[in-house]
Amino acid sequence: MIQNLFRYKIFVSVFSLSGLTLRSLRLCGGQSFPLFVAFIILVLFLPVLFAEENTEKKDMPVVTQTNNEESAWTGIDVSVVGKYAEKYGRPPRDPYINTDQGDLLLFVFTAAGVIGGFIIGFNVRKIFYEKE
Amino acid sequence: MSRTVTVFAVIFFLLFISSENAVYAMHITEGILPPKWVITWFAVAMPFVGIGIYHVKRKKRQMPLYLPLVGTLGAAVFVFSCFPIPVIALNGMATSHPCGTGMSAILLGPFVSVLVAAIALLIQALFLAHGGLTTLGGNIFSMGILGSFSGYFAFKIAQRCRLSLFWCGFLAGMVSDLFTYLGTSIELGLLVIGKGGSFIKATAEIFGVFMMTSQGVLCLVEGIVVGFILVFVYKRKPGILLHLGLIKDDTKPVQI
Repeated sequence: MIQNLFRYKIFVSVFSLSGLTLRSLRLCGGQSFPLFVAFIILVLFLPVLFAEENTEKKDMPVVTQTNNEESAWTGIDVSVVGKYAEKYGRPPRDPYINTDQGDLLLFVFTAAGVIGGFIIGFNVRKIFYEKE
Repeated sequence: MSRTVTVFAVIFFLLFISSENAVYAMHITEGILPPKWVITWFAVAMPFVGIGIYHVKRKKRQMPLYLPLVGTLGAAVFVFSCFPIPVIALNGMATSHPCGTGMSAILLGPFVSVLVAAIALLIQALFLAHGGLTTLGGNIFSMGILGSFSGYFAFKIAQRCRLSLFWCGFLAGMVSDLFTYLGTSIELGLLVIGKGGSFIKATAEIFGVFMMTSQGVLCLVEGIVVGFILVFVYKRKPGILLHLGLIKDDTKPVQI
Protein backbone atom coordinates (compact mmCIF):
# COMPACT_ATOMS: atom_id res chain seq x y z
CA MET A 1 0.00 0.00 0.00
CA ILE A 2 2.85 2.36 0.85
CA GLN A 3 4.46 1.58 -2.48
CA ASN A 4 1.20 2.27 -4.28
CA LEU A 5 0.93 5.54 -2.45
CA PHE A 6 4.53 6.33 -3.34
CA ARG A 7 3.86 5.59 -6.99
CA TYR A 8 0.69 7.63 -6.91
CA LYS A 9 2.51 10.59 -5.37
CA ILE A 10 5.29 10.35 -7.93
CA PHE A 11 2.71 10.20 -10.68
CA VAL A 12 0.92 13.28 -9.38
CA SER A 13 4.16 15.24 -8.96
CA VAL A 14 5.43 14.28 -12.41
CA PHE A 15 2.03 15.04 -13.91
CA SER A 16 1.89 18.51 -12.38
CA LEU A 17 5.54 19.15 -13.24
CA SER A 18 4.91 18.14 -16.82
CA GLY A 19 2.00 20.55 -16.97
CA LEU A 20 4.29 23.33 -15.82
CA THR A 21 7.20 22.52 -18.10
CA LEU A 22 5.42 21.36 -21.23
CA ARG A 23 4.83 24.77 -22.70
CA SER A 24 8.35 26.03 -22.13
CA LEU A 25 9.82 22.84 -23.64
CA ARG A 26 7.64 23.07 -26.69
CA LEU A 27 8.76 26.63 -27.13
CA CYS A 28 12.40 25.46 -27.04
CA GLY A 29 12.06 23.44 -30.23
CA GLY A 30 10.65 20.33 -31.87
CA GLN A 31 13.38 17.94 -30.66
CA SER A 32 12.92 18.61 -26.98
CA PHE A 33 9.29 17.47 -26.87
CA PRO A 34 9.89 13.76 -27.80
CA LEU A 35 12.83 13.72 -25.41
CA PHE A 36 10.62 15.07 -22.67
CA VAL A 37 7.97 12.39 -23.33
CA ALA A 38 10.68 9.69 -23.17
CA PHE A 39 11.90 11.17 -19.90
CA ILE A 40 8.39 11.11 -18.42
CA ILE A 41 7.91 7.44 -19.41
CA LEU A 42 11.27 6.55 -17.87
CA VAL A 43 10.44 8.36 -14.65
CA LEU A 44 7.08 6.61 -14.41
CA PHE A 45 8.73 3.20 -14.81
CA LEU A 46 11.45 3.82 -12.23
CA PRO A 47 9.19 3.39 -9.18
CA VAL A 48 8.00 0.06 -10.60
CA LEU A 49 11.59 -1.16 -10.82
CA PHE A 50 12.30 -0.04 -7.28
CA ALA A 51 9.10 -1.69 -6.05
CA GLU A 52 10.24 -5.05 -7.45
CA GLU A 53 13.59 -4.62 -5.77
CA ASN A 54 11.94 -3.94 -2.43
CA THR A 55 9.71 -7.02 -2.54
CA GLU A 56 12.82 -9.24 -2.63
CA LYS A 57 14.10 -7.85 0.68
CA LYS A 58 11.56 -9.61 2.86
CA ASP A 59 13.79 -9.95 5.92
CA MET A 60 14.23 -6.20 6.27
CA PRO A 61 12.29 -4.71 9.20
CA VAL A 62 9.43 -2.45 8.26
CA VAL A 63 9.98 0.99 9.74
CA THR A 64 6.89 3.06 10.25
CA GLN A 65 6.82 6.53 11.62
CA THR A 66 4.09 7.69 13.95
CA ASN A 67 3.24 11.12 15.18
CA ASN A 68 4.73 10.38 18.57
CA GLU A 69 8.22 9.69 17.35
CA GLU A 70 10.79 12.43 17.20
CA SER A 71 12.63 12.41 13.93
CA ALA A 72 14.21 14.86 11.54
CA TRP A 73 12.01 17.87 10.79
CA THR A 74 9.84 17.30 13.85
CA GLY A 75 7.81 20.38 14.72
CA ILE A 76 9.12 22.41 17.63
CA ASP A 77 5.66 22.34 19.23
CA VAL A 78 5.76 18.58 19.12
CA SER A 79 9.21 18.25 20.60
CA VAL A 80 8.93 21.04 23.18
CA VAL A 81 5.24 21.56 24.08
CA GLY A 82 4.40 17.84 24.03
CA LYS A 83 7.52 16.93 25.99
CA TYR A 84 6.96 19.46 28.79
CA ALA A 85 3.22 18.78 28.97
CA GLU A 86 3.98 15.11 29.58
CA LYS A 87 6.65 16.03 32.11
CA TYR A 88 4.12 18.11 34.08
CA GLY A 89 1.53 15.34 34.02
CA ARG A 90 -0.80 16.74 31.35
CA PRO A 91 -0.12 14.71 28.20
CA PRO A 92 -1.87 15.80 25.01
CA ARG A 93 -4.83 13.78 23.85
CA ASP A 94 -6.79 13.34 20.63
CA PRO A 95 -8.46 16.41 19.23
CA TYR A 96 -12.26 16.34 19.14
CA ILE A 97 -12.15 16.52 15.36
CA ASN A 98 -9.19 14.41 14.33
CA THR A 99 -8.20 14.98 10.73
CA ASP A 100 -4.74 13.50 11.28
CA GLN A 101 -5.65 10.19 9.69
CA GLY A 102 -4.00 8.94 6.55
CA ASP A 103 -4.00 11.50 3.79
CA LEU A 104 -6.98 13.37 5.20
CA LEU A 105 -4.71 15.93 6.87
CA LEU A 106 -2.84 16.41 3.60
CA PHE A 107 -6.15 17.07 1.90
CA VAL A 108 -7.28 19.54 4.55
CA PHE A 109 -3.92 21.34 4.48
CA THR A 110 -3.96 21.56 0.71
CA ALA A 111 -7.55 22.81 0.70
CA ALA A 112 -6.69 25.36 3.39
CA GLY A 113 -3.64 26.50 1.42
CA VAL A 114 -5.66 26.89 -1.77
CA ILE A 115 -8.49 28.78 -0.07
CA GLY A 116 -6.07 30.94 1.95
CA GLY A 117 -4.02 31.68 -1.16
CA PHE A 118 -7.13 32.61 -3.12
CA ILE A 119 -8.35 34.98 -0.40
CA ILE A 120 -4.93 36.62 -0.13
CA GLY A 121 -4.55 36.93 -3.91
CA PHE A 122 -8.06 38.27 -4.46
CA ASN A 123 -7.79 40.89 -1.71
CA VAL A 124 -4.21 41.91 -2.55
CA ARG A 125 -5.34 42.61 -6.11
CA LYS A 126 -8.29 44.59 -4.82
CA ILE A 127 -6.20 46.61 -2.37
CA PHE A 128 -2.97 47.22 -4.23
CA TYR A 129 -3.62 46.88 -7.95
CA GLU A 130 -7.19 47.99 -8.70
CA LYS A 131 -7.81 51.68 -9.15
CA GLU A 132 -10.15 53.24 -6.61
CA MET B 1 -27.22 28.28 0.24
CA SER B 2 -28.88 25.91 2.72
CA ARG B 3 -27.82 22.96 0.53
CA THR B 4 -24.18 24.05 0.72
CA VAL B 5 -24.46 24.39 4.48
CA THR B 6 -25.93 20.88 4.70
CA VAL B 7 -23.09 19.43 2.58
CA PHE B 8 -20.52 21.15 4.80
CA ALA B 9 -22.32 19.96 7.93
CA VAL B 10 -22.20 16.36 6.67
CA ILE B 11 -18.47 16.66 5.87
CA PHE B 12 -17.73 18.12 9.29
CA PHE B 13 -19.76 15.38 10.95
CA LEU B 14 -17.71 12.76 9.10
CA LEU B 15 -14.56 14.43 10.42
CA PHE B 16 -15.73 13.68 13.96
CA ILE B 17 -13.67 10.53 14.10
CA SER B 18 -11.02 9.78 16.65
CA SER B 19 -7.89 7.66 16.29
CA GLU B 20 -5.88 5.77 18.84
CA ASN B 21 -2.76 7.86 18.43
CA ALA B 22 -2.39 11.01 20.42
CA VAL B 23 -1.80 13.95 18.16
CA TYR B 24 0.97 16.32 19.08
CA ALA B 25 0.60 19.42 17.05
CA MET B 26 1.40 23.04 17.07
CA HIS B 27 0.33 25.49 19.78
CA ILE B 28 -1.06 23.99 22.95
CA THR B 29 -2.83 20.78 22.10
CA GLU B 30 -6.08 19.39 23.42
CA GLY B 31 -5.87 17.99 26.93
CA ILE B 32 -2.76 19.83 28.11
CA LEU B 33 -4.53 22.55 30.08
CA PRO B 34 -6.55 21.59 33.18
CA PRO B 35 -10.18 22.86 33.37
CA LYS B 36 -9.41 25.81 35.69
CA TRP B 37 -6.86 27.19 33.24
CA VAL B 38 -9.14 26.50 30.27
CA ILE B 39 -11.81 28.71 31.88
CA THR B 40 -9.27 31.34 32.95
CA TRP B 41 -7.73 31.73 29.49
CA PHE B 42 -11.15 31.89 27.84
CA ALA B 43 -12.19 34.57 30.32
CA VAL B 44 -9.02 36.53 29.55
CA ALA B 45 -9.32 36.18 25.77
CA MET B 46 -13.02 36.83 25.16
CA PRO B 47 -13.10 40.58 26.05
CA PHE B 48 -10.25 41.20 23.59
CA VAL B 49 -12.15 39.33 20.85
CA GLY B 50 -15.30 41.34 21.63
CA ILE B 51 -13.41 44.65 21.43
CA GLY B 52 -11.86 43.41 18.16
CA ILE B 53 -15.35 42.89 16.64
CA TYR B 54 -16.33 46.41 17.75
CA HIS B 55 -13.16 47.88 16.18
CA VAL B 56 -13.83 46.11 12.84
CA LYS B 57 -17.38 47.51 12.75
CA ARG B 58 -16.12 51.02 13.51
CA LYS B 59 -13.11 51.04 11.18
CA LYS B 60 -14.89 49.60 8.14
CA ARG B 61 -17.03 52.76 8.06
CA GLN B 62 -13.96 54.99 8.23
CA MET B 63 -11.81 53.21 5.66
CA PRO B 64 -13.30 51.47 2.59
CA LEU B 65 -10.31 49.15 2.09
CA TYR B 66 -10.31 48.01 5.70
CA LEU B 67 -12.42 44.85 5.22
CA PRO B 68 -10.31 43.52 2.28
CA LEU B 69 -7.27 44.24 4.45
CA VAL B 70 -8.79 42.23 7.32
CA GLY B 71 -9.50 39.39 4.88
CA THR B 72 -5.96 39.42 3.50
CA LEU B 73 -4.27 39.56 6.86
CA GLY B 74 -6.67 37.03 8.36
CA ALA B 75 -5.78 34.55 5.65
CA ALA B 76 -2.10 35.45 6.04
CA VAL B 77 -2.17 34.84 9.82
CA PHE B 78 -3.96 31.54 9.24
CA VAL B 79 -1.40 30.40 6.64
CA PHE B 80 1.60 31.73 8.64
CA SER B 81 0.56 29.99 11.84
CA CYS B 82 0.16 26.57 10.25
CA PHE B 83 3.14 26.77 7.95
CA PRO B 84 5.99 24.58 9.25
CA ILE B 85 9.24 26.10 8.06
CA PRO B 86 12.31 23.83 8.11
CA VAL B 87 15.08 25.35 10.22
CA ILE B 88 18.44 23.87 11.15
CA ALA B 89 19.29 24.96 14.68
CA LEU B 90 20.74 23.53 17.89
CA ASN B 91 18.17 20.72 17.92
CA GLY B 92 19.20 19.68 14.43
CA MET B 93 16.69 19.54 11.62
CA ALA B 94 13.32 20.71 12.86
CA THR B 95 10.35 22.71 11.73
CA SER B 96 8.72 25.66 13.32
CA HIS B 97 6.00 28.09 12.38
CA PRO B 98 5.81 31.88 12.46
CA CYS B 99 2.78 33.64 13.96
CA GLY B 100 1.96 36.59 11.72
CA THR B 101 0.25 38.51 14.51
CA GLY B 102 2.97 41.17 14.58
CA MET B 103 2.18 42.06 10.98
CA SER B 104 -1.60 42.02 11.53
CA ALA B 105 -1.27 44.10 14.72
CA ILE B 106 0.57 46.85 12.82
CA LEU B 107 -1.81 46.96 9.87
CA LEU B 108 -5.13 46.23 11.61
CA GLY B 109 -4.56 47.34 15.18
CA PRO B 110 -3.91 45.02 18.13
CA PHE B 111 -7.55 44.30 19.03
CA VAL B 112 -8.55 43.35 15.48
CA SER B 113 -5.38 41.28 15.29
CA VAL B 114 -6.58 39.32 18.35
CA LEU B 115 -9.89 38.68 16.57
CA VAL B 116 -8.11 37.56 13.40
CA ALA B 117 -5.84 35.24 15.40
CA ALA B 118 -8.84 33.81 17.26
CA ILE B 119 -10.61 32.97 13.98
CA ALA B 120 -7.44 31.43 12.52
CA LEU B 121 -6.89 29.33 15.66
CA LEU B 122 -10.53 28.22 15.72
CA ILE B 123 -10.34 27.02 12.10
CA GLN B 124 -7.06 25.21 12.82
CA ALA B 125 -8.54 23.53 15.89
CA LEU B 126 -11.67 22.49 14.00
CA PHE B 127 -10.21 21.19 10.76
CA LEU B 128 -6.43 20.88 10.90
CA ALA B 129 -6.04 18.94 14.17
CA HIS B 130 -3.78 21.77 15.33
CA GLY B 131 -4.22 23.42 18.68
CA GLY B 132 -7.45 22.46 20.39
CA LEU B 133 -10.94 23.63 21.25
CA THR B 134 -10.41 23.50 25.02
CA THR B 135 -7.02 25.19 24.66
CA LEU B 136 -8.34 27.85 22.28
CA GLY B 137 -8.42 30.50 25.01
CA GLY B 138 -4.82 29.76 25.96
CA ASN B 139 -3.69 29.88 22.36
CA ILE B 140 -5.57 33.16 21.78
CA PHE B 141 -3.80 34.57 24.85
CA SER B 142 -0.32 33.62 23.64
CA MET B 143 -0.57 34.13 19.89
CA GLY B 144 -3.39 36.66 19.74
CA ILE B 145 -3.09 38.90 22.77
CA LEU B 146 0.60 38.72 23.66
CA GLY B 147 1.74 38.42 20.03
CA SER B 148 -0.39 41.30 18.77
CA PHE B 149 0.14 43.78 21.60
CA SER B 150 3.88 43.13 21.91
CA GLY B 151 4.32 43.52 18.14
CA TYR B 152 2.25 46.70 18.08
CA PHE B 153 4.13 48.32 20.96
CA ALA B 154 7.49 47.22 19.53
CA PHE B 155 6.54 48.96 16.27
CA LYS B 156 5.51 52.14 18.08
CA ILE B 157 8.68 52.17 20.20
CA ALA B 158 10.82 51.61 17.09
CA GLN B 159 9.02 54.51 15.40
CA ARG B 160 9.73 56.72 18.41
CA CYS B 161 13.39 55.75 18.09
CA ARG B 162 13.14 56.95 14.46
CA LEU B 163 14.16 53.66 12.94
CA SER B 164 13.42 53.08 9.26
CA LEU B 165 10.14 51.42 8.25
CA PHE B 166 11.82 48.09 7.54
CA TRP B 167 13.47 47.94 10.96
CA CYS B 168 10.24 48.97 12.70
CA GLY B 169 8.51 46.03 10.97
CA PHE B 170 11.44 43.75 11.71
CA LEU B 171 11.31 44.50 15.43
CA ALA B 172 7.52 44.12 15.53
CA GLY B 173 7.65 40.72 13.82
CA MET B 174 10.51 39.47 15.95
CA VAL B 175 9.12 40.69 19.28
CA SER B 176 5.62 39.34 18.56
CA ASP B 177 7.10 35.92 17.81
CA LEU B 178 9.17 35.97 21.00
CA PHE B 179 6.21 37.02 23.14
CA THR B 180 3.95 34.40 21.58
CA TYR B 181 6.33 31.69 22.71
CA LEU B 182 6.79 33.42 26.05
CA GLY B 183 3.00 33.15 26.45
CA THR B 184 3.08 29.46 25.61
CA SER B 185 5.92 28.99 28.11
CA ILE B 186 3.92 30.80 30.82
CA GLU B 187 0.86 28.62 30.17
CA LEU B 188 2.96 25.46 30.39
CA GLY B 189 4.90 26.80 33.37
CA LEU B 190 1.64 27.36 35.26
CA LEU B 191 1.05 23.61 35.16
CA VAL B 192 3.72 23.08 37.84
CA ILE B 193 1.85 25.19 40.41
CA GLY B 194 0.55 22.90 43.12
CA LYS B 195 2.95 20.16 42.13
CA GLY B 196 5.91 21.46 44.07
CA GLY B 197 7.67 23.05 41.11
CA SER B 198 8.76 26.61 40.55
CA PHE B 199 6.67 28.52 38.01
CA ILE B 200 9.43 30.96 37.08
CA LYS B 201 12.02 28.23 36.71
CA ALA B 202 9.72 26.10 34.54
CA THR B 203 8.72 29.06 32.36
CA ALA B 204 12.32 30.14 31.91
CA GLU B 205 13.38 26.60 31.07
CA ILE B 206 10.67 26.12 28.42
CA PHE B 207 11.24 29.56 26.90
CA GLY B 208 14.99 28.91 26.83
CA VAL B 209 14.44 25.62 25.01
CA PHE B 210 12.15 27.35 22.49
CA MET B 211 14.72 30.03 21.77
CA MET B 212 17.74 27.78 21.61
CA THR B 213 15.98 25.54 19.13
CA SER B 214 14.44 26.56 15.82
CA GLN B 215 12.19 29.34 17.14
CA GLY B 216 15.18 31.55 17.92
CA VAL B 217 16.13 31.53 14.24
CA LEU B 218 12.58 31.75 13.00
CA CYS B 219 11.74 34.92 14.93
CA LEU B 220 14.47 36.67 12.88
CA VAL B 221 12.93 35.30 9.68
CA GLU B 222 9.50 36.55 10.73
CA GLY B 223 10.97 39.98 11.48
CA ILE B 224 12.49 40.18 7.99
CA VAL B 225 9.23 39.11 6.34
CA VAL B 226 7.18 41.70 8.25
CA GLY B 227 9.76 44.38 7.41
CA PHE B 228 9.57 43.61 3.70
CA ILE B 229 5.74 43.52 3.74
CA LEU B 230 5.62 46.99 5.30
CA VAL B 231 8.08 48.33 2.72
CA PHE B 232 5.94 46.76 -0.03
CA VAL B 233 2.76 48.36 1.31
CA TYR B 234 4.50 51.73 1.60
CA LYS B 235 5.89 51.58 -1.93
CA ARG B 236 2.68 50.29 -3.50
CA LYS B 237 0.03 52.18 -1.58
CA PRO B 238 1.31 54.57 1.10
CA GLY B 239 -2.24 55.86 1.58
CA ILE B 240 -3.08 52.70 3.54
CA LEU B 241 -0.36 53.39 6.08
CA LEU B 242 -1.49 57.01 6.27
CA HIS B 243 -5.11 55.99 6.89
CA LEU B 244 -4.00 53.57 9.57
CA GLY B 245 -1.94 56.28 11.25
CA LEU B 246 1.32 54.42 10.78
CA ILE B 247 2.93 57.30 8.89
CA LYS B 248 2.21 60.96 9.41
CA ASP B 249 2.18 62.43 5.91
CA ASP B 250 2.43 60.47 2.65
CA THR B 251 3.88 63.47 0.79
CA LYS B 252 6.93 63.37 3.05
CA PRO B 253 9.21 60.45 2.15
CA VAL B 254 9.57 57.86 4.88
CA GLN B 255 12.93 56.31 5.53
CA ILE B 256 12.72 52.67 4.43
